[in-house]
Amino acid sequence: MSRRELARQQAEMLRAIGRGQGELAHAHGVLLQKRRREAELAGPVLARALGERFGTLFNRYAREAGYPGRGGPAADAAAFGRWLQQRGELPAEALAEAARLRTRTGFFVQVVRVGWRMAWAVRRG
Amino acid sequence: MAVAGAEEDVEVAVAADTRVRDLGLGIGWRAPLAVMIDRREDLRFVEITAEHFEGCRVPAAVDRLREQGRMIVPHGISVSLGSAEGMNVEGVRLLDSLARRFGSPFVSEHLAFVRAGEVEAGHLLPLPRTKAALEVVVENVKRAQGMLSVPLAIENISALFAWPGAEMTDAQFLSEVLERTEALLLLDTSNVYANAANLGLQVADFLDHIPLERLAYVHVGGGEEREGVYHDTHSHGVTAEALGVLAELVKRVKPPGVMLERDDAFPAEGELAAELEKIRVVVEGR
Repeated sequence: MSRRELARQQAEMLRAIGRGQGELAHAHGVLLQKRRREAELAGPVLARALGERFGTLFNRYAREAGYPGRGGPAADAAAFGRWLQQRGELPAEALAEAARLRTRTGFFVQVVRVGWRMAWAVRRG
Repeated sequence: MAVAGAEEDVEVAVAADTRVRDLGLGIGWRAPLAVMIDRREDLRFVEITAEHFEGCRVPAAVDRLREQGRMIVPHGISVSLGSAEGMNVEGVRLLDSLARRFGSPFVSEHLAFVRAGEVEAGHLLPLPRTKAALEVVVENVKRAQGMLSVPLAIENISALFAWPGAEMTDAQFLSEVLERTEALLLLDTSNVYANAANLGLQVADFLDHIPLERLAYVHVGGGEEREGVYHDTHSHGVTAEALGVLAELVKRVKPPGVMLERDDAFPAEGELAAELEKIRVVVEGR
């Protein structure tokens, strides 16, 4: 089996966990719970504002949107805020936090960060 | 928990690898624990999660610990050493830059994959224990080592599932990776317990068949059992069973460093001190 075949298997495993059926229901549940908790910690104002609805709404969002490719929990919380905003469900008190998370994890900031790190690595040799 | 084979190994040796340092008792650095860690001068090393420091200023509290002479060990969670489509090279660079900044003795990452097909798992996932996966990990680890100015320690994970078609045991797979890359070992005793409870791993047999002379340090994290499944949560106290694995390890080798992992639901200082004390007693035997 080649590296490419293993890559295919790993990608298929991630998709299967995302579906969460059969033996992978447990793994799906653990990953979802962890993702939800980390988003809660990254966006505490939003979590407080939504209260008990946070869990249900986040689970609905997570079913539609995969884990972000960059930016980790902060990017996930930002995307959740955007998802809520599109549905008119973003509480007013969480607007400022959502904007801050979007800026922090936005494309432009990421590009600058990567560029800065590369420049630093080149300079250091 | 099976303990067969432990008795003859009572006379234990300090890890033989010359890259290993005597770290003593430590803890995972988290902002809510900063004041407690600052006060507890007996905590001689802290582990920092590299990704938490990405693109932001290092907290003064961590710099202060270094100034006090405490060791800082950068720990990665997103390098994905087991990704067949290649690891996250930026994550390796981040580990190295932190190691240089703090004069760290080594850095650590997991024997796991966290992404594939442009999908992020957001969690450490196990690898198939096959020869093909072994080749991929060894190649990735060697590449990472080539980019690092300090040694790399590799950690065993708590597996959420087992791949079908295993060609090796857990111990064989981990040992092969360590031997072929000459990497150090970061042993998480709570993860060993989790795999014993959930996937039938034999603790004594596992510890008997991994290269403990490569042991750099040990993780002990809290967890809880729900509906017959052990969850390595790092938000609960350390269970007696997980401490039992640490005791089994101590019968075989004197760990150069042992640290508590607490990531959430931070308890009062007294409760955390009690957790640390339980670990210390197991390691020192009194």
